[in-house]
Amino acid sequence: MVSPKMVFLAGSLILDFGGIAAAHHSNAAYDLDHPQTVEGTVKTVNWTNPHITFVIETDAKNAEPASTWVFEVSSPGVLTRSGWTKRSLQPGDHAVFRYAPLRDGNPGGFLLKVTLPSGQELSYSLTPADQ
Amino acid sequence: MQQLQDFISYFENSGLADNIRENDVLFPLIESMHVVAICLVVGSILVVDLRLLGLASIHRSLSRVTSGILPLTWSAFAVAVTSGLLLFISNATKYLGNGYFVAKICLICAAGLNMAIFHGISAKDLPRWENETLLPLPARLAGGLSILLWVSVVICGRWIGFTMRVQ
Amino acid sequence: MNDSGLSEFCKWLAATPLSHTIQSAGWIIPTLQTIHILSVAVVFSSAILVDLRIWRLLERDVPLPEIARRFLPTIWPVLLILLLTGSLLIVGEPRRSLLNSTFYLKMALLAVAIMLTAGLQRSISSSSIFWDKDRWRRMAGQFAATVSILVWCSILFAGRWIAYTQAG
Repeated sequence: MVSPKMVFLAGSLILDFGGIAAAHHSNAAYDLDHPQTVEGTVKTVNWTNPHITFVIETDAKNAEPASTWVFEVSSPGVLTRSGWTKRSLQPGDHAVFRYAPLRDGNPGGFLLKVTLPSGQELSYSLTPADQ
Repeated sequence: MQQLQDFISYFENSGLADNIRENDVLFPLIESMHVVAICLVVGSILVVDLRLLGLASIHRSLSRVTSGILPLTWSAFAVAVTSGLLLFISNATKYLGNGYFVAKICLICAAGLNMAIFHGISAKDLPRWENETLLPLPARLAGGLSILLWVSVVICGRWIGFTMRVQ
Repeated sequence: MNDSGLSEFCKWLAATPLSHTIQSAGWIIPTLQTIHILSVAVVFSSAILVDLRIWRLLERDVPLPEIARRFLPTIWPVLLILLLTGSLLIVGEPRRSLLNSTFYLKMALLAVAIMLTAGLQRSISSSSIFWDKDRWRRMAGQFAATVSILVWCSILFAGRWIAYTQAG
């Protein structure tokens, strides 16, 4: 009996053509109850609908080498309503990133807050009522 | 190949594509229109397919069912293609690199081919059997295949959103 | 709306075993959404076909009661499928819907659509010329059909827009 999971995995293998191992997940894929922090430098800003992503080069720390992470956020509308602009985070910016990690342990997560060197914090509300 | 890439880049880098890609409201608006359109396409085609399978509208001839439904199907399809094209150019290169997107387009073409072939082989003797409750085997096969293909189109369409690569 | 109470409820819901199962298996939410979309296609098309007939844009030569009888009854059982898939989607991602004003807008519009469609179904079956008796009835029918189309379309828009007003 072929399980749905097998079909899904097979479909993913056949139909996923290369690229960085990071794709949009539903929010359920992120552990929002255990946020983490990491420092790094912005490599790419994808200010696109339906989901904005930031590609970050994390700082080498202790035994951990620098690596490439992908942070997902919401749509441009949600961020601009919370005070972001397309230029709030630019490639080359170094910052502290607070995120909800991916449950499967892959590098990346759902970005919750960014703290820039100037002390400025970029965040967005967790309920639309505050937007 | 380079010419194709240039052609796609021309649209992907246009002001219109930039707007759709980055504007707060434009993308959700176009996407919602796309959803409305595809719901009408799939919903209306289902009526025809169920008649082909002999499962619904069985007391009406096939041509009456199609003439009553297909104008809506085609209008909705036009809106679906237009809105789909606008969504596509906002991130063309990434969509082309997404297997589910490519599969979706292929499945739509297959569905169209299925109907064209059936129309071609049945047109001549249609009046002889179209009033029957149970239609000839080719009709039932075409209807069943059509449902499978369009359901697959919807599945692939939804899965695009969960499999877009970042770089 | 008790925001913190609702927040606490979402936290509790997200911690249930059912929610955890839905969250952990990556294919469940897309599958639920796909079934949801296919069901929407059936319900939406059924309602729109009848509304277009009221406007005499489709199947002009077929009496309205016959069109209504062909398409409107399908809506109700399929709404149950929507309720089931929708509920599971909420359990899987409580914050996405329960802390999202767009979701509540969608539910309010759905309530209106259900009443409107049920009303149309009942009125048409009570009398075959209910919406055709005279010029005023015809105009009233066209108005009702227009409102129906607008409300049903709005539900689909709101449904898609949930993703654009959720923030986590």
